[in-house]
Amino acid sequence: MQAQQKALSGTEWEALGTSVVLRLTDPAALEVARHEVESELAAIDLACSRFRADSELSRVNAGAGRSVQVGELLMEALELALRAAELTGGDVDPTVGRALQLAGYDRDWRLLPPPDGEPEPAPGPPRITARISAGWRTIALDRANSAVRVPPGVTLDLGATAKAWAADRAAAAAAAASGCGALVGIGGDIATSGQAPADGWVIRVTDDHRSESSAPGQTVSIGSGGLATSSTAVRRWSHGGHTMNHIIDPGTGAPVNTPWRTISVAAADCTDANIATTAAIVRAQQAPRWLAGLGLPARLVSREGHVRTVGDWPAELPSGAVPA
Amino acid sequence: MKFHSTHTRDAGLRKLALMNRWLIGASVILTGLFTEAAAHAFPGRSKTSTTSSAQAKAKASSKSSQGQSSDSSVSSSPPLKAAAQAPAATAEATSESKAAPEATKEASKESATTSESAPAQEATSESSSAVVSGGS
Repeated sequence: MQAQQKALSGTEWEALGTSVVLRLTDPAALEVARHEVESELAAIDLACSRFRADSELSRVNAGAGRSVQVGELLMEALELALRAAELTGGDVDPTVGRALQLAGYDRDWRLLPPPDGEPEPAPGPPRITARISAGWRTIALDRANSAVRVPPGVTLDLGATAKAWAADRAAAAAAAASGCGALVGIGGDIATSGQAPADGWVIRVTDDHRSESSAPGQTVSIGSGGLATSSTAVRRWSHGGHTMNHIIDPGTGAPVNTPWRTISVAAADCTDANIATTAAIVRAQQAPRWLAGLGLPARLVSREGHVRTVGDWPAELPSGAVPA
Repeated sequence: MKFHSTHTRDAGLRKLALMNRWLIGASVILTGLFTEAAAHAFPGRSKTSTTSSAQAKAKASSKSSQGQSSDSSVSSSPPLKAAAQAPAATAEATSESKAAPEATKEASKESATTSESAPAQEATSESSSAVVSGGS
């Protein structure tokens, strides 16, 4: 396994406001693959970013109440966001942009004030419940005319789907350009494409994607598809004296109050995995049953640190054990 | 003459009563139709009051069951798909990990408090080239 993994080539850099990881099975193809990934991410950032004034999404949000022409990339991203909303009964909803702004998430989160040493939000009723959440069904997509219309006052945010979708597209582009197996991780959301290494892509599942690979968690390998992790333990900031996190419960319009700290899911692609992790965080106690019903292997870590696995997610091996 | 005018008046009153019934019936039907059309056209939600913990839990439970039913019966999108193969367990202890005292010292809350997994493994494991999947 070690020899296999060390034969891989890889590089890391920053994009979309987070870290990007690229791994290839053919070291010689690194340069061309990275170029493909960078091009893909730049295009998606220009189409889907809520924080760029020149993005198409910002134009749609600024034009709320009227029909706005959009390009193919944003149209596809919006269709995907609506699919996520439909499949999760609205638990993953792109119309929570205004709620995020009201919670203080109005710029790149790295620029937000950090939480004041509070490790976890205290259990109890949501601190803020007066929020605007129009509901995903209010978005009107007109594919024939490449136009979208959102109601006045509604702000779209594609953070719950666009990053994982970008990883899927970038991995596919990298594999196609390089002719070898590729893995792309964007902020901890991991997509693979092409032929995997013989022993699979080795992934450390933990709370924070910025952690070292020795951080507390579990190491697994995947042969294809994607693996995503959502956590309330990261991307937190202080607003109005309270600690906020970036996952909004569309039902309350406030940062989610959930028993789970971190949820990881493996699926056929990173997008589906990320839809499942985000919805599972919102679904709180119902998450394990919901994930099991979908047949998605998952690992859930409670606020207290207890690990629960669902479906075919592997049990953790004792230190030094060799998998069968 | 008097009989004729009384008869005419009664007939007019009957016509008015009949018209009233029709108007009431039509207004009930139109109200229903309009409500249905409005419900489909403007399905958004708004929240203006503070939700108690118990209400929130009940709502979450209710919402989840609604979501499940919609997932299976109403959704027209292709469902979330599982990977061809589930993740596999991977041995984590490596020669590098034994030379990593910082990781051992900084065993996090997860490894310290997880009762259903092996805490020792969390603290000492390392895969030198593993890609990290975590929250962002």
